[in-house]
Amino acid sequence: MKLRANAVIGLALVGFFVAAALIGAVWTPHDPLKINILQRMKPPGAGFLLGTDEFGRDVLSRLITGARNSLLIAVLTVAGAVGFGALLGLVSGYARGVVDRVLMMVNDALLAFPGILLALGLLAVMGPNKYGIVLALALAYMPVVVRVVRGSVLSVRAREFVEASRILGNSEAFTAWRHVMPNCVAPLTVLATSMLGWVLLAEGSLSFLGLGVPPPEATWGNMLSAARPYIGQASWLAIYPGLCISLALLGVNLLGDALRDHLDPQMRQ
Amino acid sequence: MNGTTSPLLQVQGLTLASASATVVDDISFDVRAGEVLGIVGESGSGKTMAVRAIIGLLPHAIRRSAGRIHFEGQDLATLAPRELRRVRGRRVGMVFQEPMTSLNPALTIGRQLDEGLEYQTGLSAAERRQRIVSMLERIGLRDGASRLAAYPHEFSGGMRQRIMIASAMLMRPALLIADEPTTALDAVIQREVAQLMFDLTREQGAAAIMISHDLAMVAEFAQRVVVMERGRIVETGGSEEILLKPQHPYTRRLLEALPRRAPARALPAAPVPVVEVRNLVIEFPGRGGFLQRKRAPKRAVHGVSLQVMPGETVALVGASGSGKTTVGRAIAGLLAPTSGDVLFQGQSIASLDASARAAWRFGCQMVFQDPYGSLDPRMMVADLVGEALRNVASLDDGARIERVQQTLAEVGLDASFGRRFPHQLSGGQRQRVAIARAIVRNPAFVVADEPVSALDMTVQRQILLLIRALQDKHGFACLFVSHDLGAVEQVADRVLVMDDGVVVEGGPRDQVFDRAQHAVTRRLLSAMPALQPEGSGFRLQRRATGIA
Repeated sequence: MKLRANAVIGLALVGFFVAAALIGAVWTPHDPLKINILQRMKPPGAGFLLGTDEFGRDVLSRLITGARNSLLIAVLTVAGAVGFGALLGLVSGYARGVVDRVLMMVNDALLAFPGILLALGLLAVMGPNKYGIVLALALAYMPVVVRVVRGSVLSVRAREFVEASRILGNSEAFTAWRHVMPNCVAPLTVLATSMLGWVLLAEGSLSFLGLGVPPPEATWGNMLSAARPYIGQASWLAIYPGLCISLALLGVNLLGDALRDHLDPQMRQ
Repeated sequence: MNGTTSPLLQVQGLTLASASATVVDDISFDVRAGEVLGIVGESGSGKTMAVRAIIGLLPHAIRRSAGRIHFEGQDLATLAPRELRRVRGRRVGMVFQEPMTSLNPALTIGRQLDEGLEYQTGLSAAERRQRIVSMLERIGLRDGASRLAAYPHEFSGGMRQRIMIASAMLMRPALLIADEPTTALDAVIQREVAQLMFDLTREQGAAAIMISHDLAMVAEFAQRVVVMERGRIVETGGSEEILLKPQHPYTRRLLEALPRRAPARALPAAPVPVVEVRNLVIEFPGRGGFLQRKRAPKRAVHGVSLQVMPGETVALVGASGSGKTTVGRAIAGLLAPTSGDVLFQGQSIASLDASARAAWRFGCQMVFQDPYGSLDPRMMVADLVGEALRNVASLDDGARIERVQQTLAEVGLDASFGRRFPHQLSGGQRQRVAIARAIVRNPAFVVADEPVSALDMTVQRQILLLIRALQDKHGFACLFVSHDLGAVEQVADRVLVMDDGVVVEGGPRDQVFDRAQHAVTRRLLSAMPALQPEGSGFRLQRRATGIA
């Protein structure tokens, strides 16, 4: 029953942030972009529930619109990295031989770069915008996925049910897709959920370097980065975006674990 | 061993339970100094848990709810973990089933053998080394001193199990517990390892508890036997009295499940063999080490030729490493021959066109050894079996489902099994699913690679009978690859004996079993004593040792 409770909490947290992001598209308590020097760095209180930032913008409104940007970037990035990474890992691990060696050589070269540096380089070429960030971060994190999936594929493909499938006359592609891939999803769900966290933070680091989602648009990451100089005077500027990121991650992790257990017939009773 | 001395180990009223069930129910037995006690029973009868309780190695979920375990004047059940550790290893040694995983791959064997000695005895390093080397030589490792720095992976499974035994016996325990010590080894090595183990216990005057499902081996080595069924002891007594003249119906059932020679079958003459192998050679590419050049390829099969006629069962027997599995896998198309030819219904499979190739894939199926590994854990039984019909265009969905159900019924699984996952099935049930998957499209030929060696005796018998019944009904031919001569004797029409990649002897089953010509065959046969029925009881029969 403990498992079920975790799943409910995870679903509630994720649902909450998704709802906030959706609502933010049509309504926010204040205009998230409206600068008001007179209301600079007001602590949380009646007028501004979660206070205001260094330009007097409403933190709550910015968090709500930021939710849309942050979640969109994180989900698209992870989907891209996991989707393409899993496919390449599957091909590499299943085909072995020359294909594997070439793919792995390229992959290891990518892996040898710090992810954020790779993303920086790409962004410097493409110029900062939301989809540029998604592409850059997805490419930066994909090599990890390729490695993890290839490893599981190598161990799964050595099992007898894979040979059994070949003996039934199934094509290699069918065998790989039907029998090998599903047995590799457990490590993949764990990786994908933690990757979501890396992306939320990495996007903030990019903002810090001026290559994130360009201001004045808000994301949780760039709000957190922007709060750094004021952390002594206005701690709420850092606390609330940080809290949003943490709670969203907690929700995604709980949901991811529940999903993994649900997908594995051996965990279902 | 007279009745007046008190037993070395006395288990009284031992009851073990998990949260939901009683695993071991009120059992009592004792072991006298220097004797070998055999514990037999099917999987799930609680025999492993019963002995694990003695040394306090129960899994987390299982607790002792009652009973006493007297050993050398103390009750092990009430000892603190610290005191129990002093008994474990030093006074009670243990050998587990799996030689591949019970040695730590990251430590040299010298280090591992020394560990217990260092911890439990006050001997100096030189004395310990001396003891270890002489023990290694005793277990048949030539030049023991130079092998101390070797790692476990450098040894074969049989040798690793000998090393395990050495590490237990080095401590000179009063009691050795061996849980299926030879089950994972092939027949010849099983016998040698068991012989070594009991020679050592006899030399040191230690007692032993042996858990085994190999009744012939228990009859040969144990003085007394405990028979367990579902957590209870149903019968206990001298091994001859129990295993040769069983009284309890459960013991009788165990003994009757042992494979027996079925009468030879007359097969209709056929013009073309269903499968023919000509001069098959298979090499595995050599592996290069780090900074080392690739070694020469390893030749696993050197020019094997064989024929299987329609409806016939041909057994391919041999020790592990003899290449028998490799031949089976090449026929099933899992390995490409280096040279030579595999013919299916008269045509070489290398030169088949697409449609003939599909027919071969269709008509040639395989059942694997490990029913745990050969079924995709994420698929339900009906889907696993139905997948075999995926490429059959002539069947619509309804017909496919019907065919699957019909086949499941043929292998003895009712319709409710269709919606279960493999982990919800027992080993025997899984093997039935694997068989259903192989025969659902009516193949002409099935390769069965050790199909029963992972199963209990009683389940083995059911599976062997099932294979025979299906064969009688559908008429497929079968290549039965096995090291288990008992099972082979029961099912085979013809037997081929392999050694080191070549077939050394072949012929009708009765001829090979009764008038073996080749030394390898004789060695295999002599390693497999059988319990044969005689009158109302049984007789321990040793086979073919002299030269005919």
